[in-house]
Amino acid sequence: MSRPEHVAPPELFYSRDEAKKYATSSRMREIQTSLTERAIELLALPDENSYVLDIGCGSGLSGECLTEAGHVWVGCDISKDMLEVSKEQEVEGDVILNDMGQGLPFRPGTFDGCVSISAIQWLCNAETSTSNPYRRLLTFFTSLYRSLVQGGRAVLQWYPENPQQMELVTSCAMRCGFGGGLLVDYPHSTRAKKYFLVIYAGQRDGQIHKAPKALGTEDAQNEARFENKRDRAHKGKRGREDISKKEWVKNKKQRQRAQGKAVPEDSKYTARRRGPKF
Amino acid sequence: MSSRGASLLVLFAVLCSWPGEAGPSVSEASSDSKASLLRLRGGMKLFTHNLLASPVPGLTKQQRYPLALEVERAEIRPSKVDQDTIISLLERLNWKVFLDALQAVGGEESIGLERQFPQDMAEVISSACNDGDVHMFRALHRALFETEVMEGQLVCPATQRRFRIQEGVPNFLAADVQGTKQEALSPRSEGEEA
Ligand SMILES: C[S@@+](CC[C@H](N)C(=O)[O-])C[C@H]1O[C@@H](n2cnc3c(N)ncnc32)[C@H](O)[C@@H]1O
Repeated sequence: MSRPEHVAPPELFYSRDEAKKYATSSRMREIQTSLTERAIELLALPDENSYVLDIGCGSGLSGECLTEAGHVWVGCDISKDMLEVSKEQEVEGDVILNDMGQGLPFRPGTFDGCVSISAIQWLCNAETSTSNPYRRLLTFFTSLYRSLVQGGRAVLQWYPENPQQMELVTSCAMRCGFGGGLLVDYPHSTRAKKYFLVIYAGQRDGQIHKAPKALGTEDAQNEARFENKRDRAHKGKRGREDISKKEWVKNKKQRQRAQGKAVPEDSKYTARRRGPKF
Repeated sequence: MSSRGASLLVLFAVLCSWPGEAGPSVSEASSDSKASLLRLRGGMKLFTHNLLASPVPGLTKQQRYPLALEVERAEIRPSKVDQDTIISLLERLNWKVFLDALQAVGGEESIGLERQFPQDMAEVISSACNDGDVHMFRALHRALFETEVMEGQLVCPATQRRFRIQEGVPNFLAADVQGTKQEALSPRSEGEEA
């Protein structure tokens, strides 16, 4: 199946008919709802009654979950038809027509948190020959950083097309000052695998953000790991954390096991220096 | 959504104290027995207006805010008063900008309030939060969360660019901005973000 982003620009792809599907298809509702619930969990807001931004809010399915969780929200979307449906669904949040790639129109420090469900992959596509995805991403993340309170989190669920796109989007977020990283739920399943960009606009009251745990993994392997530049500077030359050789070997073996390769069991001899050979 | 039914009951109690026909621009959203046909569509709440800033690239923080509000039509769309929400959101409100927006709608009387809001926000906070003044909460809720702009304009303070509010939705899409060519908001001029 071809990706929607390759078919048409979002304001045309999310037409009246497509928007209707979001309002009527119970399967779609189920998927979007479970994604949003997971995003809200990852957002880990300190209280109810938080003020949350929903980017690419569409017909308001994600917004309804926010309302259910006790939050007040504002949504933005580029498609008039999707917003029209959200109004017909009588969602609680206000919605505005806006292209996230041109920046978010809010005062600094407005939102306690932000969610975006299945939307930001659209930023990676050049809709016209003059629009530059890299620049649009930077404009987007800069304005998002500004719109969040100090230490506010954003959880952006999306469908990256390839590893280069993951790299592009995460590095743009970092360049704009965000900390955090890409979290992958159920990384070993093709169907259940889900990507969440979990990023922080600075620190909240001096508390260090704890990296959330991915679902469907027994180890910490697949957890989000990137820090902003400043943290990186404190580490070794290659931006890697100093880990023991033993740990490194164990990690490597674990990765190879995950790829289905035959790897010897770990034992007390793993990564030990071998004695001299005779 | 099932909460809608409950909030309609609450609103009924509120509407009983309604002081007859209000100003020309504000009408109550219909909630009579035909309500199943007439949908209660939301607009832009005054609270939301308070947090919007101009998307025009290259402006400083001060130049982006506040967006002047012009109201052609507003509606009251009643909902349940939630004191905790009001308290937690009040601190990020710019009071002066809120009072101006309320004037644009037609003032306190036009939305069914008998008393004027104090000019000073500290007074509001102390009567709402310290004295637990229920009337103050009601008034705040009415003005911030129930008064919704359906048709009107938002005007960028620095460039006078106009953004339409249509059927309750503010439109910031570059292609639809009035009085400007498309390139006005194009990414080309975006480098100088403040
Ligand atoms: C798959 S839908 C998801 C809608 C909603 N979040 C949900 O979970 O039901 C993706 C939405 O992103 C919106 N979108 C795409 N590109 C956008 C852009 N540049 N700015 C704002 N919204 C955009 C689309 O219009 C569409 O409504």
